[in-house]
Amino acid sequence: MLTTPTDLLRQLPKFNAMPRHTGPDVPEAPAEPRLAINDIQGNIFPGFNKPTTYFTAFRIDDVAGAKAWLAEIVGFISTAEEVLAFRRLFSARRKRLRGAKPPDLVDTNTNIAFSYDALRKLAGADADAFEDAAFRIGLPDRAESLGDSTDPTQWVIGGPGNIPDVLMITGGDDEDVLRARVQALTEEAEKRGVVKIWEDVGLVRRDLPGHEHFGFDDGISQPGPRGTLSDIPNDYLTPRYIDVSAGVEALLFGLPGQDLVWPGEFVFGYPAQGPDPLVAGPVKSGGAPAWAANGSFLAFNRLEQNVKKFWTFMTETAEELAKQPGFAGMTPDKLAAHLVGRWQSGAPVSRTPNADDPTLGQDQYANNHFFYGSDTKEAPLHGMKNYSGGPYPGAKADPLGLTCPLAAHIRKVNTRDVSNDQGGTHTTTQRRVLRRGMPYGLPLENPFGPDPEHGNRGLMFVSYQTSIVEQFEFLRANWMGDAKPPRMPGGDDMIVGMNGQPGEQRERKCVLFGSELQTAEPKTREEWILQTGGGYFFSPAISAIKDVLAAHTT
Amino acid sequence: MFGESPRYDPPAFMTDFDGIEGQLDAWSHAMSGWVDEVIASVNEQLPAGGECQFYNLVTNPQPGPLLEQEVIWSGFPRMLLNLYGREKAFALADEKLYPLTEANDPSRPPFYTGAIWKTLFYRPLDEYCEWRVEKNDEGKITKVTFTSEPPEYWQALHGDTLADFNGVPKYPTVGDPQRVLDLYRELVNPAVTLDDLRCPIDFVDDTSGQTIYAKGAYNPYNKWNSTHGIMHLGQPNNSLSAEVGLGGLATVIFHSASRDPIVLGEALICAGRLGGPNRTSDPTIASTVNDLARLGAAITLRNPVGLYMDGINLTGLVDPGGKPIPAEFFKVVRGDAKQRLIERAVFEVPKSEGYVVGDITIAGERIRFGGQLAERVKVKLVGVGSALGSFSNASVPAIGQCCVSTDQPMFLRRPSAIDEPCVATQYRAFAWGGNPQGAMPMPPPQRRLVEAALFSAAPARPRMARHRTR
Repeated sequence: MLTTPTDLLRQLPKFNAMPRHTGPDVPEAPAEPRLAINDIQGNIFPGFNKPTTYFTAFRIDDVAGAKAWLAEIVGFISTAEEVLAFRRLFSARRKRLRGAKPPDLVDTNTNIAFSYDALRKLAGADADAFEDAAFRIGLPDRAESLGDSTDPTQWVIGGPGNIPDVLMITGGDDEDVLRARVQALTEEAEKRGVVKIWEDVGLVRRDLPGHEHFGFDDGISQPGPRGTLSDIPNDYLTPRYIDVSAGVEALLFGLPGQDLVWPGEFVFGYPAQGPDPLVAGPVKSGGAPAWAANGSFLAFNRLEQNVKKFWTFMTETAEELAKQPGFAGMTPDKLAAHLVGRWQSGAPVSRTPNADDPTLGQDQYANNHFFYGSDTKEAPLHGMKNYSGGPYPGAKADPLGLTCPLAAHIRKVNTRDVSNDQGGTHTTTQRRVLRRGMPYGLPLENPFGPDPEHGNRGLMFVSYQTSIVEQFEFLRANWMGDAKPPRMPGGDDMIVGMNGQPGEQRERKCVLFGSELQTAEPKTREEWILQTGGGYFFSPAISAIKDVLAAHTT
Repeated sequence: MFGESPRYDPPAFMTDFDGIEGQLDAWSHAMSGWVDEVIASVNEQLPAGGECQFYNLVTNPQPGPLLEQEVIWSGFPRMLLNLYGREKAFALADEKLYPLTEANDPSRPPFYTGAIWKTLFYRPLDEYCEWRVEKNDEGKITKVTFTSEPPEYWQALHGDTLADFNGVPKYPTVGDPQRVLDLYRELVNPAVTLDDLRCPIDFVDDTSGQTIYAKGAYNPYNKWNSTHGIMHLGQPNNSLSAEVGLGGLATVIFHSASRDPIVLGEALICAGRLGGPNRTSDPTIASTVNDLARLGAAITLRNPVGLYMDGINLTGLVDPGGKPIPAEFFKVVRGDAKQRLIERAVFEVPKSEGYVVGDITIAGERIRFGGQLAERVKVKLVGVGSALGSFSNASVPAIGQCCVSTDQPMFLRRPSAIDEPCVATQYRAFAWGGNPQGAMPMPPPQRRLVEAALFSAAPARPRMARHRTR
């Protein structure tokens, strides 16, 4: 159904996003597909990563007007190429400023995504080619199967009768410029019968950039999509840092521990992951119209985080655990770290089980470098002769979850080099998503103190993938929402999991091992994450917006 | 774990053997024999000075602390998903029965050859969980019956002699055919006769010349366990002895050409020629066991050794009124529900509810296939590890490989000998830089299923028989 990436490339002009080497020459490296970076929206690859992001939802009242609006604004929809170019410029300038952020270098990015109903309005029967059941049915009717306990009719956005046709995401460095951009695009919409029905603002925490409201650094373990950007050899989307002397690791990872994943897991029209990570899997093209190439499904959840409930559980449970043999010295921070799999700084429990190590947490060459099946070897870095992996202890093999519990959030969503209930090892890479979420609301400085925001804080979770059912929903329902998989003896994902199994009264529990292999089973029925909105969307290629969605039909 | 007289108990401590003089000992003897056979096989593979990490619970119990490792996997066959895609895989799983002259894995030879085998059928459900769907006149599902019972248990209950790993009858049992009949009549159909369940003639495999099941022996492929009903596992790879074999052989540590230990589940299956690389179960079992082996642990399978359903995830299943269905709709019929050692279960809506299984929705979709439930069933075995660090076996070179082709990159062909080149258009998977046929090119834009070519390509070759007769 799709044209091939090669065909697409023929239609594209030469890239000019400052191509460069982003990896060592590894003679045995597999050939990777050229990504159509001037057609793919930039929040998919590489992600906006802006301090402030507006989420604006629209309802289409006038289809012709909507087409005109899209035609008008398509030039403002940021491509992967533009976002990458700015990121590279920003990094280059920052390097020259010896690490200081260049304050005057600002950019504003907009991306857009459409619900299934909206695509049917704009593209007609073509949209019926989308087979993903979750996309067709929509989040409200799927929520219960994800273990969600909330009533979708109470959601601030995305509930029955309140499902947006269009979700616009606009991120920027300068708040005034950003606000003006959003306002202009919205005014253009409303002139043409595309009505704003909701808007909310995501804010990177100013006190702890990169951290979510429970306090943990978020988004460290992103998969690295394979694919090249230009004719320059080794000009990869995901830079490769591991030196060829490390052997096969140089072929499997970007940053140490960062899985390189074939781009078809995230964008239509490219090879996806197969059983052998170095062999391109089948091209992801089925179950979608031809114009889905270079597009991606967007799953959006507005998740309210109850910081007080979270830390109350950690405090009370740590106090109880500390009295049990094998768990002496348990603290709220340590318990929370073991249930997340990382300390608040981002330092992995697998490498530092007993105390946080903020230096490790912020070291991108080390904070994701750990495996569970075998002891983790040092990974020499390409072009960084002075770096030998840092002073941190290496991760030891931990297939049973004696150090980092199997129920820890990071082990529930990514089994790394050990097997899982879906078969063997590679299946975990077929479930990865690109997360582009960010917090909303202001942080609560003292979890037990007064809350001037009355609990209005949480996470705007956004993920991109080529199957909502097999990736986003699978992770939420099958791994995070089920106590058994992916490996036992595990338990529920205490951090974000939701137990909707009949007869279990939403109780969540998990297995922790003590110093002498004693076991403990903390449990709770408290839910500190509640869904307050969301939806399933498709984020099409720029060319699909221009040529299909904005095109006038006869 | 054991009483005063240590022995291997029947799966899930099922009680059908009770009261049959000598039957429990006979079962334990067979189990113990299979374990010892595997240990001998492992010893042959280990390098000089190596010591088998897999042990016999009865003859060589190990001191604690024992770490139990439940290995779980999804009940729906991954091979069907990889070969045919979700929709077609679901339809095939419910409806298709293969004659034993056809393998459900298109890269392997038929299980048996000869006229009799064309008349005997099995389900392509090779994850140690099989099911049968019943529908009403409207075509809606009314009942789904699941089983994880191994065929050997039924052969033993019939009193047949169980085979060793070479297919030679070795482990006699006592049995009581009337109990077999009574259970079939109770659980499958009151019309079952003993003759229905027995081989009317010798079942001979033409390729090997072996009599696989003798006239009068229990026939695991009888019509009440295939075309007309379901009692126990029937797919030829779904056997208890296969589980024991995999559990033991997976304790051998293999290394690649670069001398790095082989860790990935699928790569391990290929390197050790341990089973089906496309299955969910085999790579998961093998790599979980191998993880423990690399930690130097003593390893075995927990008593009672068996294949079990752990349970089903019913989150999000709602009745026609939108109400969550109760957990009791998944009714455990055989095995131990409390210990989650489930051997047989039925998913059915009580008549009083006024609707049927096919009216239930999952995430907004009606239940149209048994597979929609099977993928929510977790199948498991339970391993035991102890004395971590007490072994330091060196790794051995891989003895096998899997080939893969560009037009079907999701499908790993059955493991072949390490020195056997892949045919043209195929490449060695997991060669990782050392592919003798060069780098594998990018796949074509569309995934094409070359089923016809695959089905006709597999040459027949000798294989080991698993089941024997008395």
